[in-house]
Amino acid sequence: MDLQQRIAYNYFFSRQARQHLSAQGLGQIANSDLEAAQDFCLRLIRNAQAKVPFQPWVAQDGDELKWIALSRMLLSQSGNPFAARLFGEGLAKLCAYRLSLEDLQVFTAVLSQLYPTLKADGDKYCLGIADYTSGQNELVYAPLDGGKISIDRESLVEMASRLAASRASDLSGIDKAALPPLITEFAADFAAALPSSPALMARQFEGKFLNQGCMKKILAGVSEGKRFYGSMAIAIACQKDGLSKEEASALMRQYVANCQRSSHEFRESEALASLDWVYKHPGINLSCRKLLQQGLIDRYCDGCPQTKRKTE
Amino acid sequence: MDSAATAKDSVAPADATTAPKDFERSKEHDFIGRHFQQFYKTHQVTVPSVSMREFGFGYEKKIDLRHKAFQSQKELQEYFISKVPLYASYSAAFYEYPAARPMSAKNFLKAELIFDLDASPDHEGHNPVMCSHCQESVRADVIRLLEDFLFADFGFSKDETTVNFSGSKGYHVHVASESLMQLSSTQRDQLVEYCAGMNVDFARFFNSEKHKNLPMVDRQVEVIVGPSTASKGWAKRILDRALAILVLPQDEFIAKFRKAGYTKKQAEAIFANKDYVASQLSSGRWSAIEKPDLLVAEIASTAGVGRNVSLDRAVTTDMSRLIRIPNTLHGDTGIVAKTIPFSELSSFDPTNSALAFDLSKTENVVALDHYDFFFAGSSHVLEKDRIAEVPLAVAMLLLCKKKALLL
Ligand SMILES: [Zn+2]
Repeated sequence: MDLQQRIAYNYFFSRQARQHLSAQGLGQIANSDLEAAQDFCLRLIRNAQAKVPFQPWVAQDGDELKWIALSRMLLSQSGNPFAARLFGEGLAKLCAYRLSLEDLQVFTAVLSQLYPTLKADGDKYCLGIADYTSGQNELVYAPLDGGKISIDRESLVEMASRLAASRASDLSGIDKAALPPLITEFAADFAAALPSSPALMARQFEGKFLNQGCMKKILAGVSEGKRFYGSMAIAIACQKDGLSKEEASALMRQYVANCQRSSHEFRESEALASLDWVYKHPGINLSCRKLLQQGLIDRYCDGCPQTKRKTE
Repeated sequence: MDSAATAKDSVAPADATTAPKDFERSKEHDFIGRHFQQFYKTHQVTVPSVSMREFGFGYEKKIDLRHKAFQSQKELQEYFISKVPLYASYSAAFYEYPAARPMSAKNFLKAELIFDLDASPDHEGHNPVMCSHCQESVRADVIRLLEDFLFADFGFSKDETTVNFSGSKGYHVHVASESLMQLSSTQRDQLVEYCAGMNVDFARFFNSEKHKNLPMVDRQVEVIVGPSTASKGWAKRILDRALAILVLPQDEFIAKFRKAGYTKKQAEAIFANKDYVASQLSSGRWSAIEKPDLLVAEIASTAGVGRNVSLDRAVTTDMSRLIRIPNTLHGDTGIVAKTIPFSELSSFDPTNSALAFDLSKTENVVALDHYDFFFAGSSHVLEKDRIAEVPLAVAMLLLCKKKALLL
């Protein structure tokens, strides 16, 4: 296996991986391919959830690239952003492990594809502003000088794996309508095998707002364009249910993690800013009509004290 | 009245379909329009990449109509001469179809990075006609934004950065570097947040380390480690500011520490030890100063851009915003929204360097109130309801501000 192949097989986000996939294509998709993809996807999800270090591996051929592509198609059908996020995290952990094994040449060759401004700088690296801010890094805390940010190898890998995770779990580019029927059929069983957000599902809230179906739906994550309004709705519900700011912040972080990753990043700080604002303006009411208009919910919840009041 | 040469050119109204119908066509409006038109007949408005920008124009408001596009420089200039807008704006964004609507149909390609600084006229003694305090405070922050942040920390090149006076009280800084034009709104927000230094948890630049078994000390000692001369970015800014405070003359030194919340006794003790303190801080040992958090909080409250003036975050992050076109007239002042070379920024006085209209010609106006202001190096005092003969540029300023009428 030559260097280009090794990069292609092991780093799904690399130019070499894209070239490999476009040259090979996905071929005729058989049920066995989908089963293999499902196994692969569930394995990554388990690895993402694992508290102990998981057993990583290095890819020896291009099968994994095919499984990643199929997993993403299946995940896009499943409507489970929580599982999509775990899949991305699992894949990112794997890439981070593989990067840690690489020599300087391969390491730089792979990472400069994610960060075109990357330069080696002694035993560290440096990045330009555009690359540094493309991740979830906060610029104000960065050692910024002359447009360059110095960063050590470990932090760089962490940053790259976050980016890899968000690329893997960003399913917004997949045209669901154009998926082969075989995938659509398989997706129903696949969806049933996926975990749902345990932290949220298991949690019983004391108050009446967070326990409503609408809020549970929003907490489980929403897609791009709805994330900000979702954060406002959660903040109001937290405030009405009397959660402390700390409890509410923890819930908000969980919400951000559950939301769909996409090209337009939704930062934790943006969601926490909604929370801040709502807690400073305690008179704000939750508007079910707004939730409906914004597409955050598709119907009013049964037995919702709010809508009852509205229709009276 | 002004020269007959301009008087015979009538000012065409804006597009009947788009301009406000109830626009008041007063004598003053005609006067302003004729002079604006004359200006555009003799001054070329140059817009780089003109065909890729969206334009917006205003007569009553800053923007009455938008989604306009021009194929060429010539077409744009003809629009200025025939429609004579009072306010002219363009997009920092470049689009494939700048006239298309809704916004998404324009097909966004890239956008210049813009920083918008404006005066906060709510200070004591604000002059409603021409306020030198407002002008100076914004200019000072623009210089700080450029030198401390855009050039030093961000490393932007001077060739790609331009400063534009808005024609009124504010300034726009444009950065047209290819590598930055693709930044997302979230990334732009990070840049403006960095310059403002707002919502920063400064405690994150400090660590407290507990040391046991120090020689001669039998209890645990807490050592605060913070920014040192090796630091960069905001950490370095905190240290530099602290060191600058430590070399202040005694009176200012004590006052600064008192303002930060230290007692007089504490401030005097630090002053007596200031050289030692400075050398300790330089090597990151912040325990050398009592309550370092007080000093840091004081530094944090002044070190960012936009403390006494407003740094409009939305102009930087919202790429669909329209901003004043450089070298056009501002309808509130009749002053040119001039591009200013960096070398002239520190001494820039719009009433000298950005005048569109003559100071040697005069015009009679009736002031609507009592006004007392400086303009182009001279003091102007106008009494309410009295006729005053003022330079044309001053007449335009007062008429544009609706603070005077023609005879
Ligand atoms: Zn003022």
